[in-house]
Amino acid sequence: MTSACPQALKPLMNPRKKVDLKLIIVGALGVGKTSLLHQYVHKTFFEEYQTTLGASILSKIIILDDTTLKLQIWDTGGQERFRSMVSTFYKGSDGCVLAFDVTDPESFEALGIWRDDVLAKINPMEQSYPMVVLGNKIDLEDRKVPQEVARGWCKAKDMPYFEVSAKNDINVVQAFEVLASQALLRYQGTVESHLVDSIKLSPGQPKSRCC
Amino acid sequence: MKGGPYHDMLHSILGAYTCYRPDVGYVQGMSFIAAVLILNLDTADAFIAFSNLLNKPCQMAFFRVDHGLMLTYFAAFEVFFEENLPKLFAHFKKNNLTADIYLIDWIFTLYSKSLPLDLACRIWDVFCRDGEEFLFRTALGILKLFEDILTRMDFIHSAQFLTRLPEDLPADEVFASIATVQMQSRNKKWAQQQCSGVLLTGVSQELGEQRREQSLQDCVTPLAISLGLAGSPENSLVGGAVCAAERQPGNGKRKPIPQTLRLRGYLHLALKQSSTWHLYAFRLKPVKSRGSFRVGFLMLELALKQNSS
Repeated sequence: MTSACPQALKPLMNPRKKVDLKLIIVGALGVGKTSLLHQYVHKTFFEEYQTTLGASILSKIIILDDTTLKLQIWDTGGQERFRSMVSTFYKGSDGCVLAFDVTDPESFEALGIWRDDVLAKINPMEQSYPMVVLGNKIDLEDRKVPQEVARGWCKAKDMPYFEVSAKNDINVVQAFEVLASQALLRYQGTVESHLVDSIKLSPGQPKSRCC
Repeated sequence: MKGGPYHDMLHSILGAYTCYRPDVGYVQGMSFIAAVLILNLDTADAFIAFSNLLNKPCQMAFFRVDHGLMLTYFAAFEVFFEENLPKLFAHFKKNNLTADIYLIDWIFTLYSKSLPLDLACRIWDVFCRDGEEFLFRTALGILKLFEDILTRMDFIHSAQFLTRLPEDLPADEVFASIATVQMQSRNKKWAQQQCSGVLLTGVSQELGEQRREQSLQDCVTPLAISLGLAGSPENSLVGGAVCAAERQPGNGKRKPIPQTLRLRGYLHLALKQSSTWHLYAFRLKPVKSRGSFRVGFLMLELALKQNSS
């Protein structure tokens, strides 16, 4: 927890830490946000398209190092018009997946807007808000967004980039775990700074979302 | 799905709609509404009913994603939520479970995505008669039916439960639950007025103001009114006929929720009087010629031919 805590006591005090994290996935209509989530959480893929309206929330428990992470992942409708509406769901999130479809250049071009939109809703001063970019549908033949272009864009913005396929389960787990670990780091950072700044007596109040 | 039954019909209707209302265009969720209509009507009639259904103020607010107006709807919903189910309301509040999480899906698709088709049709049935109030009443009915379970759930489980309702929802229990919901909170009630204007007396003046403006716009297209699918049922042809048949002694009492599936009847009755409305649509809103809308054009031509013969 804190640096004041003697090293030897750590395992005794935290046999296994539990952290709740809220992640969101955004991106243009039909890029495969829901499919990516289903692949990650349920290990399934559906050929049929099922539109998402409002929000749908999935949860998954993973173990990272010595911490149990309870991920709460918010899936939102991707039509441009819904952006103002779904942006209320970004509040309090610890990390974000930006998704696009490598066969759809428009979905790639829209990433910047989605990103700005998310950052505007998060604490605007924060530079370290974790985001990863997923180029989905690499299993399809008619790819339109070159890998180098996508990679370059992400590098310029300092975001990890993954080429993924929700259908064939390529790189999906890796991408989510990188985001989860970054979100965890950020979470630990905020907890520590809270402890340094002032001692909060209500434990975990800002982050705990379980009842 | 492409190649599946009704795919082309659905495509025509949605395409034609984007021609008729380019200002609204295609919005996610529309296909669910169109699908229900296709199952009950032929293509041309389904298109007419679809357009007029979407001309209703509540549907317009949602499909145009008029965020301010939607929030007002949610706020109004919460007034009745707290009144009817104070315990669950407090529980949701504590867990930060806001109404938009489940209401967006329910209201956009008029329950056709979240409920079994036969149950959704029965809800449409009463919605055609009672108006938008019934959509929100239904939401409260569902919450009430599952109040005990939901009060014991944490945020994530409640949210998941409500965004994916059980598939085997017992229709009779749902309706029995809806029937016990009071849409009157002290001096506030969800009142609807003619020409698709809706006022939430006492709940929100603002909504009324915004509405009045919008309903004037809606009035420009007399089709919606002549169809009876828009506006207050009492003042429309369909609703009027049905309400007259149902009118009870001691008017003012709430009419019982009909137990039979009458959607077909409502829609056909609505369509009887509508032969020329889409001509109005053409004159009022010249359709922009864009290649991708050709399907829509063909559909409109078809509709014109069918109605003029």
